[in-house]
Amino acid sequence: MESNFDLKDLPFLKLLREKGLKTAVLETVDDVVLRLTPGLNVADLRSMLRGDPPGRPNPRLRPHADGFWLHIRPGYYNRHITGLYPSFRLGWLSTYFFVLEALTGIFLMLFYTPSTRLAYPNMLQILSNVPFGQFMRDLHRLGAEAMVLFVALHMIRTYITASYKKPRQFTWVTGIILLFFTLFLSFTGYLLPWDQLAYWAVTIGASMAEAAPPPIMGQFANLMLKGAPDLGPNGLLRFYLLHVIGLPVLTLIFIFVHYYKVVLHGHSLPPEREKVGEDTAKRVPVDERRYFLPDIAASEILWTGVVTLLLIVAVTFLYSAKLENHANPLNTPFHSVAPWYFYWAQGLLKLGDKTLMGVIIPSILLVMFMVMPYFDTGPFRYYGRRRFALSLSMLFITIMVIFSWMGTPYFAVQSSLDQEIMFELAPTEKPGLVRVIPYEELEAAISYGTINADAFREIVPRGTELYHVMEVFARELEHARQVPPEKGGLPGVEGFFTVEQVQPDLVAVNLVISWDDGKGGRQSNEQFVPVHREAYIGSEE
Amino acid sequence: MAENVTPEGTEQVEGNGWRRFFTTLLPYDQRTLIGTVVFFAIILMIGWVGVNEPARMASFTTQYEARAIMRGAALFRSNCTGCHGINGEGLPGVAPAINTPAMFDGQRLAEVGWAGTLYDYIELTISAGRPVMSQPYPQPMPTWGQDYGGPLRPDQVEDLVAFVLNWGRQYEEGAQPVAGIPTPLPTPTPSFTVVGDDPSTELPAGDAARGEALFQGTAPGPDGAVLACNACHSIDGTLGAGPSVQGLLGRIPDGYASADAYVHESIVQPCAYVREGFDCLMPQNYGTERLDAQTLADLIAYVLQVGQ
Repeated sequence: MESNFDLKDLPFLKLLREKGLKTAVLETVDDVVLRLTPGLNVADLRSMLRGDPPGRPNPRLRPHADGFWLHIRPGYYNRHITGLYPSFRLGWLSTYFFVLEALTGIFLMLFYTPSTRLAYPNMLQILSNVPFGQFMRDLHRLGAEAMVLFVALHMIRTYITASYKKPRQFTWVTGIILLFFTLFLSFTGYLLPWDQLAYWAVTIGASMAEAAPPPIMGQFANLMLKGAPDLGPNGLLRFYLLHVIGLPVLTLIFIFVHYYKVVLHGHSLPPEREKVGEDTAKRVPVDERRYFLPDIAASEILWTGVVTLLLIVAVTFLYSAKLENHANPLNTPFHSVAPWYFYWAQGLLKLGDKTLMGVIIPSILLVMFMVMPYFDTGPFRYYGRRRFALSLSMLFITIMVIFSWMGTPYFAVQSSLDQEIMFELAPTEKPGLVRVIPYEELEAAISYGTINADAFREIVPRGTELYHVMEVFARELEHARQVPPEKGGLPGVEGFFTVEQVQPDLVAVNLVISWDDGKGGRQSNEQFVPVHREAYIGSEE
Repeated sequence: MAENVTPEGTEQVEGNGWRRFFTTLLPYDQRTLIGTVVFFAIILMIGWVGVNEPARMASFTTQYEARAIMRGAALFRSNCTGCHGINGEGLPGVAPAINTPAMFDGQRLAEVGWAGTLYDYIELTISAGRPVMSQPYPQPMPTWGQDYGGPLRPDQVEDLVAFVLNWGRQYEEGAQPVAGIPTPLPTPTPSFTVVGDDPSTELPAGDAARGEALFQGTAPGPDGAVLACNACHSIDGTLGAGPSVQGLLGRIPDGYASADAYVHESIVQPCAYVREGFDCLMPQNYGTERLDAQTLADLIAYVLQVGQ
């Protein structure tokens, strides 16, 4: 069979025959670049990167019309919105964090199995045996927290500049949906390490599902979310699937909708740049235009680089994601809290009924936020004419901060003082004071026998870490003595500190607090705190 | 006009200071410069992290293993000391010593015919328990792993194994003894004449008061360790691992010359007659290793006194 294919017909070879090697190569490269960008040839690209003025018609608008990635970005902005003010790059950074989370998340997925049996050992594996494992995990965790923060700030900025007003109401609605997804993404990811921190923080957060009215709905929602009445293997799998598939896909879709609305309506101008009731974002005079290529793109790449560098410096020197002990459904750690961005909900829950405080009020808030732009239809965007709205937002932020504070253990948590003292000295889920005493000092303290916390000064050498810890111990006991018994004080309380050698390189501190029980007897709280020589090298947290 | 549309940000901006900072872009070439510097800084930082990774991973592993031993120590203190002693020295007649050279030098593995590693042996024994009794320990070890119906998660069993294996380090060849670590009690060598397991041996007159102290575990036996018969045998009819002593006199089977002879045989040869509904779990070394004639007589006197 005769083939009609002839090598000589290849365009490149034809060109080679007609124009010689150099021209053929250059023209082919030019063609490839034109197809990839798409729409910009090598000369356009070079002049763009040099910062030359564009030709007319501007060839740098072609990728917006012909290319996939840039078709959801406007071809140009008004120059008054390209500075730090008014956008503060918060929208772009939110998107950046989403991409960062996706990339670091894919890395972590390679080493993670969503099973209660394997999740925690996998975490240890990531931290101990995967190069860049801790780095990636810290980036993922820090990026998640930062994403929540930046999405929230983006929303606050949009509110303050009144950018949600007509015609951008729906952009705002998709933004609220994205905020909700961001919180939920972060929250579902919180559970995956399957440590005590994860288990109890999510248990607190997810308890709201159960409170949804009426009870049958609450049970159903709880069962749907956790796959069982309590968090277990099914719950972990569901949270994992939501975290890696369900929510990212939904978020991505809404990010595209959100972005498309910016193309459609243009980026809102600073309020003082527009006449009242007008929206001139789309009618940018030619001399006010800032083209996306290369100007805005360069800024976005710059911000991406700067923030990436800051994150990398942070996770290398300053921040390390915690990993507590293996999740233990039978043992609630002292002072368990929800993730910080749900402190406010935990604070609300302390005030009253779970259904009202945990479900009804947050749902009303969510709906109110969504419909807000359709009710706040006043034409003014100037700050001076929105005193009520801005005061309201400041009031709301203040209230959220107060509720968040109320969500922390500092507010309305009933705990006995002996437990508080033990928590300060040797908490179950972090090193605490006793465990980070240098091992050599503990070893030396074996010969001191039982140290009474009120008479340690003659026994423990001054200037040692142990001395400092005993000072804290004595101070706490003194405090507990002074609090009246009806307020939880511990009359006649005494504390004892004994170190014993248990194994090679392993000592144990026996902490005993004993006090009068008010019925003529003594009550006591004892804790056995083993400390290994190698366990807390350089670990202060 | 051409000036204004260039990307360098060369157009005049109103204001200065903060206002200028917030509302204008840096010139294009300055942004390019910063971007380039940042890019190389990122590469350097990642390289720096990469260079330090082996050391970091090793240090994490060391720390983690140390913390596993610590958690194991706390678990051992709250779950295991009741039978294996506070320092793993074992309790005679209850559970064997763990903190002993034989555990780590292969002797124990050889005794039980274990072909796997010591780690696996300890892990399986903790998880699955010891399903059969082994002399002289009448009580089989319970299962501890959740996979076998016990209370501990797999990671907790691993912590316990790490803790137990850490004892082995003091028995390693060339290891310096660590001051302050209690070593297991030496096996007591009986400094008394054992009564033997022949039920027809003549006994001296018994003292029920001393018998009670021995039975209740408040006084030590002749070898220095407590007998504590009450761990398995109640005196008030409560069901234990062994039959209660209550009502004993009323249920002596045929063929015994006296109640005395029946109790005597039941202590020195526990499996000669086993009451229906019970298995022979009782140690069979009381006559041959642990009791002298006076102690046995005292115990019998007490049992007959409460066995009405």
